[in-house]
Amino acid sequence: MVDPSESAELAAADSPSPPRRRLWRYMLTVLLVLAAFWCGYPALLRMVSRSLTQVDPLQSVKTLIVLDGERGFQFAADQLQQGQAETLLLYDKVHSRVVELGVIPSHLELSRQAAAKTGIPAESLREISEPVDRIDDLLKIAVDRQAEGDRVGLVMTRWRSALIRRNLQKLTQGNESQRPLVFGLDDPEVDPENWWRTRHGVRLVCDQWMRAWAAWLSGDERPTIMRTANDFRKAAIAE
Amino acid sequence: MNESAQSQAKVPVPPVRRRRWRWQWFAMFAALCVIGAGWNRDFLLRSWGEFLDVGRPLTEPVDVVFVLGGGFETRPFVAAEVYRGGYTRKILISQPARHSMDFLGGRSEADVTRQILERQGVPPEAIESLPLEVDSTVSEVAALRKYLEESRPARVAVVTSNYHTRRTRILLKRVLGSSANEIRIISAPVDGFAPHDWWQSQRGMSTYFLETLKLMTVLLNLG
Repeated sequence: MVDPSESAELAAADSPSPPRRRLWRYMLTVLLVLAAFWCGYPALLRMVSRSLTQVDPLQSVKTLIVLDGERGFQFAADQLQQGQAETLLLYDKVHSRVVELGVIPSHLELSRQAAAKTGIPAESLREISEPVDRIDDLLKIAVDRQAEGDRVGLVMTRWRSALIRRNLQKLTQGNESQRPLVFGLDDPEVDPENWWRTRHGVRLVCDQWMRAWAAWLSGDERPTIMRTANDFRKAAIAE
Repeated sequence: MNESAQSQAKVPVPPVRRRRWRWQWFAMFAALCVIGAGWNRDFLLRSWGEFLDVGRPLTEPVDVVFVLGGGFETRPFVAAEVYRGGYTRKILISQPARHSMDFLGGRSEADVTRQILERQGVPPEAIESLPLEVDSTVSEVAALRKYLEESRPARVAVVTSNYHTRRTRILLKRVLGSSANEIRIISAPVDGFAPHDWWQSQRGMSTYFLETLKLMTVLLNLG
């Protein structure tokens, strides 16, 4: 028969000392967190992609403005054909040196070509005369038109939609009735439910996330300062 | 009275209270670090920008200049200056993969880069395209290794954007080993921001955040 007080002493001697017990507790917590993350990471990553996407449901508008690529023009062509939009507003960007050099056409010219390629009739096209430098300049035009009673829809890749919507809210000071609608395009290369499975998807989502963070941290985008031929020469060869 | 004070002084501090003190010191140190970082914010951010930029202008001629893809607004212009200055006789360009949201009127980036070089006075015979399609800096460096194994030029320079030069150097060393030390890296300036003011523009901030993330993935060997 063992004395109860003796057995308690023996148990105390066998059990790990408090610091070691604490270490075990930390390790167990870390392991549990890692296990939880491992089980739940697809849901977390889907949350990331959802945080970048904030599109409006499709509805009829008077004017469409395409912000992204040739797929945007295809979307606009479909909307015009279905009678969901009346006009497509084309715009030009401030000419880059590559455009000035005549290597690629201006944004306006590329837009005209894309519109013609997708079969949008010329009478449905309108153009903004002044070239825009920053995205906010274009959004301001859209907001002004909306304020004048023109119902405007902006067409872009769904990954940019939350950021654009945030900029629009800033421009309209939260007045939802003055906010142009945001229509999102699916990117065939990136599945929002599984974006982390492709390199392109990871790059795109990380890029958009960083843009969102930068927009949140900094104020308005400043006008672009262009490098000169002298800058390129100095960068190339030590004089 | 005196004795009781001495006995009180000898009483050991309970571990819980000691731990709490440790946390308080740690919190104070962290707060000081945050205040210090805020105070020297510009210095720290500028230092980070300069840390990422390891490129230098050429001081001697090279056999080949390789222009990395992804920045045709500036990188080919720097390569063309190298050629026009008589510091190289050949420019190598990569073939970045096309993506569905590209808006270049159906043209490839390699095609655009080649035309920029030609318009800047580089003759077509001095421009060579790497035959492989690439979609990242890693695949570009791998394509360069293949080229170097076949053509064996003695001196090579790589042109890329200033914020991208450190990652490029790490990848060159990883893929090419010690021979990467012989490769010169040239920093192409970027429109809108520079290593000393990148945090003052939204585009600069997002570019440097993304580059930092990419650098971490390279350092952790995740990419």
